[in-house]
Amino acid sequence: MYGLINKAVENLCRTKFGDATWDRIRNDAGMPDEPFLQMEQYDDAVTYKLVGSASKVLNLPAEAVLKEFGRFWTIYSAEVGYGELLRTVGRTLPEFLKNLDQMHTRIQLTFEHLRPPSFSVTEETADSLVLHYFSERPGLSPLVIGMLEGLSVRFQLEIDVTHQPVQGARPHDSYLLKWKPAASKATA
Amino acid sequence: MSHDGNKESSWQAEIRLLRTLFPFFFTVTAGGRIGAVGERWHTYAPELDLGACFDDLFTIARPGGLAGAADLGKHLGDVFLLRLRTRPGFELRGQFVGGDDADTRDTLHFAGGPWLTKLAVMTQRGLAMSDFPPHDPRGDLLVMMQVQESQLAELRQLTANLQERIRQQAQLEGQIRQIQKMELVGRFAGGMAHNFNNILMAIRSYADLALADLTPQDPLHEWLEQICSATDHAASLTRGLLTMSRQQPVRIQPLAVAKEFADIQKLVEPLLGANVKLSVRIAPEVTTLQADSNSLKQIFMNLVLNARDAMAKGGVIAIEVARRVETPPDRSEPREFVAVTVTDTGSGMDDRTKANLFEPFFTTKAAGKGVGLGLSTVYGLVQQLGGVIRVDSELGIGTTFHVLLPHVVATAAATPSPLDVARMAGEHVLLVDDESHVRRPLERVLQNAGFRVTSAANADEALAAMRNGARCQILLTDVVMPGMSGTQLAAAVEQEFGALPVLFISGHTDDARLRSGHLPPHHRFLPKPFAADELIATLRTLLSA
Repeated sequence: MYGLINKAVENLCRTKFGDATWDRIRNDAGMPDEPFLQMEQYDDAVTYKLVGSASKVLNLPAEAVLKEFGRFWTIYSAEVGYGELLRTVGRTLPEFLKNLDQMHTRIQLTFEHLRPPSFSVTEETADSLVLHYFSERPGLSPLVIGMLEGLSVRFQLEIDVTHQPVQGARPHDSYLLKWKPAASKATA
Repeated sequence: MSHDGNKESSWQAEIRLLRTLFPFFFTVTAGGRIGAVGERWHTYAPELDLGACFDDLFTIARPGGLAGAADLGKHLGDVFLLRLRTRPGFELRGQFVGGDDADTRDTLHFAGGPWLTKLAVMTQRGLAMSDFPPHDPRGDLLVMMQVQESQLAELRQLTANLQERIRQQAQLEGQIRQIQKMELVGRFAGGMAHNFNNILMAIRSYADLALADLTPQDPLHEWLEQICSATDHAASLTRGLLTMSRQQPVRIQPLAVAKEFADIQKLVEPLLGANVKLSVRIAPEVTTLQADSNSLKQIFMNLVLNARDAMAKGGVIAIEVARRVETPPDRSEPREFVAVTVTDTGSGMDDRTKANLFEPFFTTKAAGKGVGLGLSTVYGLVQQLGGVIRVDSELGIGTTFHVLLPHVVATAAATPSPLDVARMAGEHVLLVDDESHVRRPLERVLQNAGFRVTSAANADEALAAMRNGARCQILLTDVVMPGMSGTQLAAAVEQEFGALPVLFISGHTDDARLRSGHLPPHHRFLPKPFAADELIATLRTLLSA
């Protein structure tokens, strides 16, 4: 994964739990005390180790750490210079989710080794949809739930997310999203 | 315009294709009217509709010199930059293409899209990434530029961090160089002080002896007093050098508070200037404190002069002395201190200055006005005296330094009574010093004061004298000697003959315990050179304890 993700994990730990806790997590993961560079490629194992150590040090299940990270990511990515990009992706939550693949594809032109997940939307109604998430990386489903919760804040919605694993020819995770129509307004 | 079925179908298919590829597609008829329009226009700018006049809607920024719709057909294939009059700031970039046959030749198709150079502008113009179809590289370009901007911001941050680390490193190296320099000065000063003070000791002792033999009316009396005074002055130079390198020994003893602060006031007042007033208030119950007189002067001179420097337009410096019960920083039981506060009405300090105040070489003064050693020396001296220093400061309001020093109840032990003096006459002193020009006059000084003296040039001789039956009541020994040192000798005597009062004397010693003045009650330290009466008074104090 690119350093941007690891930087976000670091930032989340420092912001929510303090510098000393981050040092303990970093030490536990066997990471040197050096800054992560957003364009540098790191082995996926580094990120998994950081999440594992955060879970151990904070005494939280890894799912909870991933979910929190997903929530934080929607704020952090905007703070580190991608706010404008996120604003252009969609004016509403459904539009945003439908355009995620397009955004990732465009970003791939710069992050050439990016292996982003793929998202698609089905069964869209005025106040619900089903989001399909395809990723070659296992175990990150809680992160998607956290990210959806973060986006709901961004779009000023109250959402309810139900995780629905899909079996079959292309096993993947899907999420039934319902939101309150009254809060479903554009932010862009 | 008429078309047969096939031609119409082909033309409409082309229009459909253009509408799909270019959401901001439109056509311009031969009359300069808008023909077909892409669907995005319906939501983005409904005024661009069928039959609307092109020239009313657009200005042509490029190519230059075009009058309007009538000229479009002459520039097929050229790059066009169109400005929508109804949406300031919104520009379209693209080209006009014409049909192939007589029926469609006069209708021009605009193939292009919104022209942006910054992603940030996209939402300001009411556009989204979906307005840039996948085939349109402008969307990719804008995202790439945005990503690179973010990377550039990271690079700037990393560079700033690196520069800060380099600055801190350079500062640290500068401090290390200063410390090394001070260590060198200290080592030089210490070595010189040892020899120099021994020489001064000899001069002072012989002068004291000679003075004792003369009446005050003798013409030589005044000359000898001048020699004593010059010796004291020379000794103060050595002390200055040692103070600078923080090797000056301290002599902690009960001090009269009123006298000490009167002396300090006398010293600093001439340095304050006309606009700065100094007030000293001492609570009546505070009479004595435990400190070293020289250190006390250095501490409060530094604090008062700092206060003066903080009041460029003048003001008041208030010194207040009171008793205060506080829990020491080591969190031991609360105890009584003499609290001295120095308050000014100056510029105050910001948090950064407060945090670094006592750091060596930290200064807010202009280059050449201070090296940043004043308050670090104050801090060191207060620590040496077993005290505590704290600071309260507010920008624009002023600063208060709190110095807490150990409080003692005044006793009469420091001044022996005439009865004690009489009783001590004939007490036996074991005098040990390897420098004969120091030892010999001291022998005479002691004998003149009524002491019996056994002299030794080193520790071995001293121990031999004790073993041979010299019944000495007090050991007066130099510290730095070849072979066994004075402190080692004292330990050996105590082990073999039991505890004995000991007075250590030295031109300069590295022994931190002696220099700090933190000694057992039956041990004292007297730095050379000293006056004969000072020696006798100290010996008597020790013997009477």
